[in-house]
Amino acid sequence: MLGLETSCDETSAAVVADGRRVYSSVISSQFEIHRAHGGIVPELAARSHITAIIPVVERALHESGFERDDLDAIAVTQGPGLAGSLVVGMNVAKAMAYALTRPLVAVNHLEAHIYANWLTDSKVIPPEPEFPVLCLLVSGGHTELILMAGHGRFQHLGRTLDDAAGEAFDKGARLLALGFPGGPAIQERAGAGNAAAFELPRAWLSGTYDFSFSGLKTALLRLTEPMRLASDENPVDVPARREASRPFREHRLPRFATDAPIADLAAAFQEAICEPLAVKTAQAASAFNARTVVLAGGVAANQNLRDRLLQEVAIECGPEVRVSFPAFAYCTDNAAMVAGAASWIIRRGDLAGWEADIFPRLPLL
Amino acid sequence: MTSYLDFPRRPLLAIDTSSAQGGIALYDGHRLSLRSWPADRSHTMTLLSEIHHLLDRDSVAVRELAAITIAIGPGTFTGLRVGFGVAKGFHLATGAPLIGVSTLEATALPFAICGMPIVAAVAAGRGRLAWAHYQPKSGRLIETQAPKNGTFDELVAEIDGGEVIVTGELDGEQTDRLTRLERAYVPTTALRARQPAALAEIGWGRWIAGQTDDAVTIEPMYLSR
Ligand SMILES: [Zn+2]
Repeated sequence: MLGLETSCDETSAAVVADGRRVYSSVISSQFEIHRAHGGIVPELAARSHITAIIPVVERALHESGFERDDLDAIAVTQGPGLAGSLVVGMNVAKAMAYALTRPLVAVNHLEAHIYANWLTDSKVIPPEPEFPVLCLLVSGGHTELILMAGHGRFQHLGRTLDDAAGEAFDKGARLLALGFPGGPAIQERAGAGNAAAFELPRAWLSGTYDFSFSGLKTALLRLTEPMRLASDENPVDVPARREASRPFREHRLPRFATDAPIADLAAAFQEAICEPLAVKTAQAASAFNARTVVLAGGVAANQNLRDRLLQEVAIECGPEVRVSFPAFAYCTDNAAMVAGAASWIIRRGDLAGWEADIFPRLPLL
Repeated sequence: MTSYLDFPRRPLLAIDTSSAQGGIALYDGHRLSLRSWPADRSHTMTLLSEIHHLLDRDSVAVRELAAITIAIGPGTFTGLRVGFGVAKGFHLATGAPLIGVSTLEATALPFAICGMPIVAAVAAGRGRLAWAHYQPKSGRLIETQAPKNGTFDELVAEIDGGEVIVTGELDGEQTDRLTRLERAYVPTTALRARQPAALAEIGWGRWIAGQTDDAVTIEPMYLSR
């Protein structure tokens, strides 16, 4: 199975067998192009997919050791994502499938993130995650709690009411002048910090499995405003996406004195995001008798979130419930997860036709 | 598999998704087979099905294509990305060479035989136009002014006075104003419509001359305004 993923700013292709074994996974990052703008610029992303796609696919095929005629099917992300980016992958995949006379599989990007937990680089295939699976999907665009009763059977338990967890990390990183993307930047700085040094609020929204992070961002802004150096006329709490939609504008960050407690603030902010995520996921796992808890999405790479989730699931559910994380390489957007998910989708008999369209706002359910 | 029965030579596939009217053609320098359809904003949903109908009718498989020629714009970005996606997907699957052709050159080609300078224009959104100037020379077009993005008034200022054919995507008011200029000739709406045949003709000429493009780096034409 060849998978293509071009939903956002990474051009990616991968070859995966049977939804499990990754033979190759190639990602061409546009990171440097977008970093100067403090966020993703959709038009620039779409343009780079056009020139990146051929070398990426050819490298994925070459590294897998397979020829294009060995492929059984072609899989591609159908949505959600940026329209101008999705359109490139969808049409390349369709044309390849048509020319090679192979089936085309259209994959939901969110489902692909979840199925990253089934992937392995090893020749020895580990056992599958046991159902019911409880999944916390956390990325720049999504924060969702999903119960998976079996392959392709998803039930939505909760979601963020405002910012996604990854978005919260991005905004927090901007407030702390730590740059983009925010998750890795905050994690790195928080390593040397004390999370207990500052009190930041958590929105527990008890009685639901929903989340909220906008109050946290406001609290961090209030806390850091007095610490900022003067001549900082730049409003930093502009949402990253709106700023990004004005292309080619350089991004500027606030300035702090060298002795400002940025590490402590980063640690406290990270903990205020991870704690409610871990606690509520563990509570849901217990309430729905999950056998496995999985993390998915870009924020699944966060070590603090992984540690907290292990802790909370052990407390809430006991040792018999397994917690699984995707390999770091398959947390952020990648095509291996798309090719992986496609195998399970084909088994449900769900093939795409030549008229398949993209869906920039495709929900999971 | 039967192979290109009606085509004495391996044909080339031309793809034009640079505007709301989609166009495709098979051409081997001699025999032409084409389709044109109102794609509006649905190029992703329609293009491959249209290509399938065209190839199927003529019993041509993608791997039998000599080359793929693609309209590179100027035009709507989404439409162009669909065409480039399909062209690059075909290249990945079969290794078929890609040949990029300016949408404006394909717009101008049918009038090359008149021997007069030609200005070809396409709509560029928000009332603006993209256009280029061409001079016919022994049946081919020499680009005398590179494609640019501007207002209709800027276009009029450039052509005022000289003898010229103005063709392409012009609305009724623009056509009226141009027609009132003394030495400007504006074909009727139907004759100004871009044909995939013209794209195929230019692409075939380049293919015969060995002028293919780098499949990796070829991209839509982005005009700054
Ligand atoms: Zn993602």
